Amino acid sequence: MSPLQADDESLEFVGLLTEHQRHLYSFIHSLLVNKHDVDEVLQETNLVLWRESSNFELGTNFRAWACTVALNQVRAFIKRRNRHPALFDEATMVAIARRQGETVDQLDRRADALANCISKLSPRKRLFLDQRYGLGLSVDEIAEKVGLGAAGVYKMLSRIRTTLHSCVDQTLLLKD
Amino acid sequence: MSERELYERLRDACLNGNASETERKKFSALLAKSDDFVDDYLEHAQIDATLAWYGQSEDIPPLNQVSPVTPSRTATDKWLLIGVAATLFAVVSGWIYSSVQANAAKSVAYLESAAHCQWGVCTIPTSLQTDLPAGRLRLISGVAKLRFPNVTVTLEGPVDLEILNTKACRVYSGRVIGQVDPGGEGFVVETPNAAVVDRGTKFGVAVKGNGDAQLDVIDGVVDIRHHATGQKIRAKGASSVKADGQQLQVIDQNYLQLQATEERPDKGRFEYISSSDGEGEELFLTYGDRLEGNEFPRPLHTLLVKHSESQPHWERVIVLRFDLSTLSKDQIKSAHLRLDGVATEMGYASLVPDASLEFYVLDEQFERAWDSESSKWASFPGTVSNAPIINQDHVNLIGEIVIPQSQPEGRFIMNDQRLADALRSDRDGLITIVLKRATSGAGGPSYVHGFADRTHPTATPPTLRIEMESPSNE
Repeated sequence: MSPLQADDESLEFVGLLTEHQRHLYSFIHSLLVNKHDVDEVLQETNLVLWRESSNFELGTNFRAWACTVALNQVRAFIKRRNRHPALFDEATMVAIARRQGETVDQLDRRADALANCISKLSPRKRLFLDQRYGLGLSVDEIAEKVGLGAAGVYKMLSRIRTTLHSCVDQTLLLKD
Repeated sequence: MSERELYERLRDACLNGNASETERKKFSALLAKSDDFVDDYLEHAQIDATLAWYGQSEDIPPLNQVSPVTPSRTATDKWLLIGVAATLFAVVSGWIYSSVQANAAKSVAYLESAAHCQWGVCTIPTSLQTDLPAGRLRLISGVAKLRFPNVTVTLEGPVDLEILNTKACRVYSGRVIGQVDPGGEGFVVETPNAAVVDRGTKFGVAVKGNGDAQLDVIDGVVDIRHHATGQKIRAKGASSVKADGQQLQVIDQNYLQLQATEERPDKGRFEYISSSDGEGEELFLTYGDRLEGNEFPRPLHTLLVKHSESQPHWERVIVLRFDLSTLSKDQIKSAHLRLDGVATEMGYASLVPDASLEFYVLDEQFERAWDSESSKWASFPGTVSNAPIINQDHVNLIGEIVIPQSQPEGRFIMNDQRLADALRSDRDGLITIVLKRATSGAGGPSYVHGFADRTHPTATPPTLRIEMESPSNE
């Protein structure tokens, strides 16, 4: 390994880190789901990646290395919060992480197709997304605002994901 | 409940954050058993992660404002990284648009600044200091400034605004301020009831949720044109005009009544309502118990309709609901329904002659008696529960079209005065239309006609195109 010293190399590393943020976010999200937990672990991961940058050899697979660091940070986070049960056990986490590595190209294609699908959602569905993901409202708060029960809001959020998933499937089908 | 159904229920509970510890353990065990489940989970989690990114829009200071704690080289690099990392939140919020931009979406505006902004679900990036293509922006809170050529538009959240092109935008709701510099004259701000054409000025537009707008000329001159009446006003500095569905109401006297245009305001004044708007719904119903996918795949994002006397179990009808709550029904002049035919690859087209498709409106008393989630043939009020036929006591025929045998794809338009009559007579703000194929296929696997639904990635959803007339024409 050649340690990073020169300015050019530092900038290249920052560039790689920037470029891979969305992948890291998605990766960590798949293991923790809770937004606040994901944000915290992503910050920790970024700091560790920067601290360990001298151990990364430019030209090798940054994404694989960064996801390995992220997986370790997820483990450390779960250990720190041992009173809070983890979403997945260790074996399942490893299986999810492994499978993400194996299907990375397909997931990237799906991510690219997603934008157009989101733009097709009805105003009512976009309103739910605004409140849930934009304003960060709890399900109970959304339920009160839109006059539905909490179960109805959960159902609507699931429906939106299913709609988007089907739309992405169809988009990729048409491209193939 | 099958294992797959259990998996989907647990997956949704985990992603929604309302799974119990027992459910999480069950879900974990299911994932450990099957790579197919893992793949499906990853795809759904990716969608959730993407939507979560939408909520992360931050007002990022320029890097030169991020001060290092110490002057050491390492610290500087660290703070540079932190500055960059912070900027990532802004940069990444636009990542999902890469595919859109890759298609060379033309840049028409520029997001100049954003203070304390929380963005809702937009169809274009909200990254600070980036070029923007045409598209919809929903600013939940904060203040953002868009720059068009020689024009600046400031959004004061909450705002729902669409960038149309380099010379026009549309405000659906919320408050914006427009500043037009020399060279930018003619810039148009559309509102639901009126258009503001700037002649070199500073003005404010505030649109309520119901579409009513107040137009305030702060400095200079603007022309205001009312959609319904065609009335045109030239308003000068320090004046205000209100625009509702019926009229322009001048709040002060600093205006000039412009000559009405020779062109009737009705021309080009259309309302478009699709099954994805408001309380719109859509589904298709199958008479028999067998479902597509058991023996052959069903095309995604497609509403199916079929009639075959030799195969009653495959009788299918399409049901569409449109939300009419925003329409002034007494101004409806004419209407047609657009459907985009798409290939279904189900059955043989040569086994169906030119096919007549009938359109029925469901009696209003049954309007709320169905939904796309739970309705089945037996429970839907527009069909006979124990026979593959329409319930003629609950519906009225409002039109029909013919689909050529050789051309089941493309745009089809049902244009019938009975449709406009049905829209005019609506009382509850909703209308349900049932589509039935009257022409039977021959024996064997005859063709199943399909139309794009509201989630179709390329085709248009079922859409009503309604021509409105001004009250003065009545």
